[in-house]
Amino acid sequence: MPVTTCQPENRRLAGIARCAGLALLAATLTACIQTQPHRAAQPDTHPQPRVLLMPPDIVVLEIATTGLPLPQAQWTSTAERELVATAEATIAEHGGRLVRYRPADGVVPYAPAHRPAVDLHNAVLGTILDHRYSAGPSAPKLSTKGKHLDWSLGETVAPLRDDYDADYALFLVYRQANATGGRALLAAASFVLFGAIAPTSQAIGLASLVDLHSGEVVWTNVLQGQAWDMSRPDGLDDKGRKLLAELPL
Amino acid sequence: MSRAALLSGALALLLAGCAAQVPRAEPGADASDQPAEAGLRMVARQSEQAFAASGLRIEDQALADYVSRVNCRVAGPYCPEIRVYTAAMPDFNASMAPNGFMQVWSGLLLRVENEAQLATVLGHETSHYALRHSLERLQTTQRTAGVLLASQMGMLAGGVYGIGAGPVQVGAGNIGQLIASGYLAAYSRDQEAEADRDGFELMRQAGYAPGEASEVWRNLMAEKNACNLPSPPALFASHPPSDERLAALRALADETGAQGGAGRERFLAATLPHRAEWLRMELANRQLCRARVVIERLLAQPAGHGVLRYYLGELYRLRGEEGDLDKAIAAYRQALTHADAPPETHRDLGLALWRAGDTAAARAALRDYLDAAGQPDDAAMVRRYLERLS
Repeated sequence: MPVTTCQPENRRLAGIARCAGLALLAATLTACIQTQPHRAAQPDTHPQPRVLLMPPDIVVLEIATTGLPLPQAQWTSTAERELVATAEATIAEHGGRLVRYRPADGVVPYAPAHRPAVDLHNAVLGTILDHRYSAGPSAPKLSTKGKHLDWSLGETVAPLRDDYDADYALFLVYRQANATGGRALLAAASFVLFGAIAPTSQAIGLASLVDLHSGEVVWTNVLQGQAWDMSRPDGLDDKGRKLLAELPL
Repeated sequence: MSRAALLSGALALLLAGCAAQVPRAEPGADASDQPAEAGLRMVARQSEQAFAASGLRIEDQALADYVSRVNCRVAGPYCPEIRVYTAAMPDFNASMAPNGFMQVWSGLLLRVENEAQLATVLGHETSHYALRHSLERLQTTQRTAGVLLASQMGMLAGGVYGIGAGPVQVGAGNIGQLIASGYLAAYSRDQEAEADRDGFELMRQAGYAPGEASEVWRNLMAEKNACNLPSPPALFASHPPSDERLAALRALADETGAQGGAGRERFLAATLPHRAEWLRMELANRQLCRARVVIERLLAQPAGHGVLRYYLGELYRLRGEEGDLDKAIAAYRQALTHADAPPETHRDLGLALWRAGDTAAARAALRDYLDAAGQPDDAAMVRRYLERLS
């Protein structure tokens, strides 16, 4: 499936899935890949920065012909495996070294000492997405916030830094919906017959890099476009690479 | 017969064949060979993770252990698969996710009167899990939505290509949607009724008094009727109380004729320490009529009257209708005749008396508050009040 890169002036993110939520982007996803990186001033790092990969937050759905979203556990598991492998390779190519977060025992994958940083990151990333990536006149912009990336998780990151001897934490969020063949046919028929657009395959990836020495969110990126074709194992690798291409290590 | 009637009849027949039949879960079975169920469990697990890490969870291991023990007693072989969380949330509610993640809200724990009634709710939720109602509902919705989609597409095509008279086509489409809506709603009610029956059997087999099952719904109906809540009120949406459900559970209890325990003492030992906080949340929820019904019902039982009278006073203070100030003062005073009245009762009595113009009694009550509460956070403010009253 060919990938088209949108021109910047055509970029439009109607709504970003809030990090704590599980919803996909709403209506205006276009059939193209969009990436919108933002980065802060690069901090001092070790020669080979240690990047702590937090447990990725991934959901892959199938959209039935009727339009019902059906969560797919197997696809989600595959997507997680692929994205983690891509992240590891990309970080290495950027001169860094990936360190995997060790999920805690029990239901919550994060150790209690790490939860404040994770929760704060979710809240901060949600605000960053609203402020920097949402478009349109009703987008929730912060009027006193400039264009530079100057968001911080403060001292909450210290336990992550100390427990893993890491320089950065990388957070990944990925949502994908794959339309069944019937759904795709229906969408095409609806468009041809009635001019109506029925949602089909779509995907969005979010990435953010946090400096564990300063607590600052130093880089974020959003990738938006067509869903990964689950029959092509290299498809997600391509998406992951695009998402992480400008990782500032 | 008109074309519209034929079409709607055909739709009704199609929808009648949509009900999914899902066999009861085998205890301990995973869902790896069922993609739809595995997907449901995946999103449920994420939901559970978010809840478990949230501040909504009541951080009291003794309470959590108690509720889980009761659940294991009714859930039997499903016990290891179910994780019960108590949530600091007002209103009567409990829920079960397809991965065994069960929530029991504090508003429910406040309203049930004994362990047997709690076991009724836990049995009901466990039955949703054992009967795989989430999967059943998903499959039925899929099938029904497919029929609906077909009818809508037919309606659209008719509109575009002019097949048949316009009004007939539109009418057929609307009737189809109405049938499907009713069908889905009935299906949901069927599941609730099935869980009622299955849950009743679980609590009865666990040795609880069968007659307590219908008491849960009787109390909820009383609350709903006393406050003229719409039917079904949104707050009861997940477990709508109804005369029908109440009667069905009563009939089941009458049929069995069995005896059993209510477990009131064990229930009170586990929940009484939390009652003040749960009442505070109910009042903060501003459903004052419902809160009053609950408090008055609890006052008819012999435990925790100091706390109950204090919050009844708070309820009157918050409501602020004519005569409520006097009612609040009376309730605070009654609370103080019981050993378990919170220290704040003195303070709020003092403030109410001040508003009523009885400054001498207000001063005395505020001084009592400082004596009773030790070094409360608001001591400086209360001393300031005393200066103004002197």
